[in-house]
Amino acid sequence: MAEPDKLEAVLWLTFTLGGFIAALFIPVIIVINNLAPGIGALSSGTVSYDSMLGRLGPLARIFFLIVVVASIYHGMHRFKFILFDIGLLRFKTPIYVLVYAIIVVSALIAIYSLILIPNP
Amino acid sequence: MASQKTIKIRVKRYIPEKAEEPFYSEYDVPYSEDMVVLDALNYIKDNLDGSLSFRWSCRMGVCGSCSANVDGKPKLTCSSFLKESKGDSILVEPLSHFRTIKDLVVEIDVFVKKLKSIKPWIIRNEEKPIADGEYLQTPEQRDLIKQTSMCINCMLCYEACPVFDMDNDFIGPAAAAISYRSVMDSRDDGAKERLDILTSKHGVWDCTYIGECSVVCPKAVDPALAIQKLKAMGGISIIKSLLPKKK
Amino acid sequence: MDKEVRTYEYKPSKTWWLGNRRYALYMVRELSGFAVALYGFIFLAQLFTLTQGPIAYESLLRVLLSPAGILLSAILLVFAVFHSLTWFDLTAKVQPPSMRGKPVPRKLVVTGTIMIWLFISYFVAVFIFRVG
Repeated sequence: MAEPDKLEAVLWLTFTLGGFIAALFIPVIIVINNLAPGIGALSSGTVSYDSMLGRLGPLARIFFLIVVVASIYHGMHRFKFILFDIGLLRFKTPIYVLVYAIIVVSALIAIYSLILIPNP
Repeated sequence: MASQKTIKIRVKRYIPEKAEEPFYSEYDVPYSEDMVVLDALNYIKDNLDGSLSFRWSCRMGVCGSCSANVDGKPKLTCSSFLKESKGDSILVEPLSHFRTIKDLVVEIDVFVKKLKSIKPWIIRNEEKPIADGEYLQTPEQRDLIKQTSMCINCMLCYEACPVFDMDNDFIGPAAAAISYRSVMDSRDDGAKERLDILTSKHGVWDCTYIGECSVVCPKAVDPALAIQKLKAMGGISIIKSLLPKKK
Repeated sequence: MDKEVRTYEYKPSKTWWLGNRRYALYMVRELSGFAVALYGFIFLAQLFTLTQGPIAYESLLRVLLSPAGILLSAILLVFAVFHSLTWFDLTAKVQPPSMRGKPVPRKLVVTGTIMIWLFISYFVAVFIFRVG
């Protein structure tokens, strides 16, 4: 009797959820946070230190935490498969360890940052 | 006989008792508009070189035996017309994701084992007596399994699947599509059991939705999408089993 | 299978993804997923420097708003939009939306999804970033 691979199922469902969050929010964040101030469509003051702190209320912090972790998780999950695709499947275990370690460390840095960013 | 038009057929050969490595043989075959690659192979076998080996049966895209790479693309040789080929020669090679036994004949146990593992028959909790008649379906219920029922086990999807090439243990497109068909079948009670098999190690999770399986399928089955649906169904089924049961 | 039979085995290709246009497009799609993670790292770096004070943050910002930084943002945006579109497309295929038991026409699904997406983007711009 075949045993369902519960770990892979959870990893995949998280990946799917992350894909959705990234698909919905990453493009607008790139535009407002980087591209528009860069090309002058928005004033660079929009992303100055003070205005960043100004918009980082508790809800915004939770929102950015979710978006950052979801995007990194989603992208690294696919990066793992890109590595397999180019012939590195025999390093499956080290690649899993590396990919999920990067995700966990990123999530910890994100939590640390969003707790410690000072209030304006 | 006046100047009969001919076409060059290049066949990748493998004869283990003759050479360690595969080699190519070239044959000039009389050409006509209505000929398919399988006709050319049969012409070679009957008239030019009796040692050429290949599988075939129905000659009409139903049996799924005559799969090969035609000009580098996975195809049924019985459904590939000579006139579709652009150059003045046609290259015929065995499926490369399977071991070659001889010439175009490949070792298919690896696929047959997968087919068995998914139990491609109807699973019932309780069989009803024969006297009670058939298990009926509405047209709507039938529509759900219509497309995946078309699979003829030709293995072209396995030839198109790089994941299977990298890891022969991967359940692969056809087996998953056939199992999806069973899961969706209104007469079948084995959905949970089937999803458990499909979501186990080397199951649907290895698929990265490259999608070429659905492109090469000669029967317009869409295994790639079936696998993504199975991931969603299987994932939800596993999460449900992990949650504490209410009652 | 009988072990006496000798068979020939081809080695798995490492460059199959260059084999045809669709394989290559698949690879681009996967890279677009990775691009999303790359942007995640950039944004994470911004958040982290915010904890290190204005000087650290502004010096990272200078790099991000330099011509090279803008070019990178533009490339990542193209990939991110491609990722969004392929992701919504696949979701609609795996779970086709239906209304009153009937499938919603594909055109309506596509325009509907893009409208909702744009609305959410506008919402993020106005209520999270407080611009406009």
